[in-house]
Amino acid sequence: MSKKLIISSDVKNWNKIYEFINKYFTENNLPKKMIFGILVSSEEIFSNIIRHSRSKIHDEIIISVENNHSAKMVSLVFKYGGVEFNPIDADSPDVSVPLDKREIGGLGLVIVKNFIDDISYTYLEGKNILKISKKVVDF
Amino acid sequence: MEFKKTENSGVVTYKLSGRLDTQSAPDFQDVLDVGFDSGENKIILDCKNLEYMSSAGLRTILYAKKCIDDDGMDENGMPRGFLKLTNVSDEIIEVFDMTGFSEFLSVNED
Repeated sequence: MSKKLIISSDVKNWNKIYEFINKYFTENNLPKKMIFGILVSSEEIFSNIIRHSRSKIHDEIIISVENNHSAKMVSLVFKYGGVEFNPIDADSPDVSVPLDKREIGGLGLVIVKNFIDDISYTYLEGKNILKISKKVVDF
Repeated sequence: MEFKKTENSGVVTYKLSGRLDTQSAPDFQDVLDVGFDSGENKIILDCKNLEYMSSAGLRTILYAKKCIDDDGMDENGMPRGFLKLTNVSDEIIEVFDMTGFSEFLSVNED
């Protein structure tokens, strides 16, 4: 079963996305720790899309969530306009550098790459399509 | 996110609740900044009721860490400044671990 949220490209909509993702995966009995990782990863992707895709505030972002019991995976798909932009396609910071010498930024990508098992990106007919998937052992 | 701020013998404690995320983190950073401007340099973030923290929250913590002068001791032989996080949940600690924050922050220490 999948569900879809269509929302404008506005950072103020993060709360609605949080509630949508949290409700869906809680109802599907995912462990709290896994939901936390999916939420943190989704927030990073959402905020990167807004910052870098040059989409306008009224542009739609479509977020689909689904679980695939047979594949033991849950997935989220982000579909959005703007320029061709893969939110994952950036360098991650060196996490061994002391905090007072760190640049502020890039940390979210480290989190996404640690939490998420599979990431795919395509640009098709003027739309960016990013899919993130997480394996679920207990399905 | 909501917070309650208390001060005791120069140590400022913020009791955080809710979510430190892309919407709340910039506002909380502004709050911290007001304190730094007035000389606050010993900070405890009590995360007992903080249910969620994203990279936006990490950036605020990184900012606070850079603002605090924690080099050396004061005239009473106490640390000149510090940033401590207490009662941090396992989920948030996992984020600290994967971003290297755990090595450079005081987290859930006495």
